[in-house]
Amino acid sequence: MSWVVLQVMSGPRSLVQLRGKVKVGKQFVKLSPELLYNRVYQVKNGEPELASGEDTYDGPVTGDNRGFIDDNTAQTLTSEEIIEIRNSEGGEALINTLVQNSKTFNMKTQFSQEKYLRKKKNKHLALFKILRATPGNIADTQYSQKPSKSIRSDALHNLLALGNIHSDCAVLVYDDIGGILLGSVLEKTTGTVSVVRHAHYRDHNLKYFGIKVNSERISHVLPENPAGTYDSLIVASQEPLKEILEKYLPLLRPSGTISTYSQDLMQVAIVYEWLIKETLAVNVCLEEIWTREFQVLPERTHPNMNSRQGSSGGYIVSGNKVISEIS
Amino acid sequence: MQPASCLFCDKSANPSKTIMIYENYNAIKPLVLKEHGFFNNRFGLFHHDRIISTPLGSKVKEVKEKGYIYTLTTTPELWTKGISMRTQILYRADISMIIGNLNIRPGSIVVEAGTGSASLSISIIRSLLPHGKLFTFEFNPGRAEEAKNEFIQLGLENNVVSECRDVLENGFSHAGYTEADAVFLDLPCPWNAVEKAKEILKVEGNLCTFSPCIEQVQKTCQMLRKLDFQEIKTVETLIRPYQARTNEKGNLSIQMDAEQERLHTGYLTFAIK
Repeated sequence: MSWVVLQVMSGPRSLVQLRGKVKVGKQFVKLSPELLYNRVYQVKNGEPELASGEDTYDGPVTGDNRGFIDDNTAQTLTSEEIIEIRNSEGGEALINTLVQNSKTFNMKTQFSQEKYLRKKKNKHLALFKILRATPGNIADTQYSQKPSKSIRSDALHNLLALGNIHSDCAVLVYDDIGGILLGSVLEKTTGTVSVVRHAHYRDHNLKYFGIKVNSERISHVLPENPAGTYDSLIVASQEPLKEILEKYLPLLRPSGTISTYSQDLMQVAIVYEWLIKETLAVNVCLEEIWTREFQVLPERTHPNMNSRQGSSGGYIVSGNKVISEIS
Repeated sequence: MQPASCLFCDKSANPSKTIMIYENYNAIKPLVLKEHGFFNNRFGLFHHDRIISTPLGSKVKEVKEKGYIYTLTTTPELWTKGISMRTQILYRADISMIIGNLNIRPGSIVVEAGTGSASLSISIIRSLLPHGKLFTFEFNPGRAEEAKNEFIQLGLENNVVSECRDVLENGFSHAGYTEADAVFLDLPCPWNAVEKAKEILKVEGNLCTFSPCIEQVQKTCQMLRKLDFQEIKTVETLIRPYQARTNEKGNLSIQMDAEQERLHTGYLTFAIK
């Protein structure tokens, strides 16, 4: 059975299968293959129910916060009462009661009323959605849990582009991120892909791509394999990159692409200097991938502030292999 | 049918093929090879026959044996770099993000408007080979013609339909496909085109718009919400280039390469039908 990304609204992402029960907030919900992708569900009595769409306010700004006193007394209900109401009357009734018992809700601007309601809904209604397990979604989900064992999707997309990955190219993969790179390359190609089974090689993420570890499309490579066989050498590792390239660059054909990712700037910098100094490649680039997401709402557009992942997606060094004997 | 040898995997420099000529980091140009042909650059006069007789990735000298160039396989990244020197185009950070988030893969049906310099088109085609197809529309007749010729020159014509058309007036329908897996819009007013784009997208199909200004993004997002698109997400993505070299003290020094850095290209908005 295939895997999907479970996104708890304003909560964590995880990879799950559409069967059995999973925890969403404080409640359990039964998942099934009938669920629609990309739609927000609300947990009701352990069952998923499509949540109604949100309207965004698009009118003038009224009200301000001159009457606010920041002493945490705006809400007159105690936390015990809140839990009690949620358990006995449900999340929606609770949100109504919270609004009625908030001394400041009516003073808030329309915008901040909307924000208040959205936050309360995310917290008390157990909202979630399921997303397709695309390479980007798998990478971001794993990155959100263990950054050092994954790659952010923006860096992954650049790495694959710089690696010239496409249907019939011969790719040599060095994967140190649990098979996320290998799975992505397999998804973007149609033939066999060669992977280095090095000491740290793990492939537990392959299943999320719907690929079996013993797939006929995966072959294993040794440094002794014939030289000049591959069109693309693509690497994602936190290990010393130069040692990896010294071993496997001979297997790349002249004019093949080198595309190497690390979260360690020093590792990519060492490779960058070495490739240039020894004229092993031309068009050598060393770069950081920088991305930020925006909240786009009427009168409220700004970069997202809640990203715990920062703006840097890591470093890539890339180039095109050349032979330097003169013709 | 897959052509005998895919352009992006070429190992040898054959006559009539397009290869890339690497002069230096800031001078990379395409070259169409001809038997007994010549070409000139600031490093001298080069024989095509000498290039044809060596594998791609070789260092090739000019007739006086002083200056030299490197020959490289054409890739969309080198192509983009090559044409970025003469026209305004989409850059690789944005292109990578578009291909990745639209989840373009072998067999995809993709629709693009406008074609522009075809910098993105060529990356899209690479990703959907061997059986997928790109339908690309451009309302400027000159540019549409130029793109069409480029696709033929690169031998990509089996995987692309290129047409001169104003999609705001005439929509995206084409006899060559029924539903699109992905639609990309680089238009001055993308919000006016998203409703028509929705008509030809498959359910769960991916949409992307590119706009340089935030006001455009706001209008697009408002329209996407109105049309009940899901997973609406706007990002800005950039490449921060560095240089590294060993200094006099023998230490590796790493610095930002300000000359190569771009501070803004545009905003990418993604959504799912």
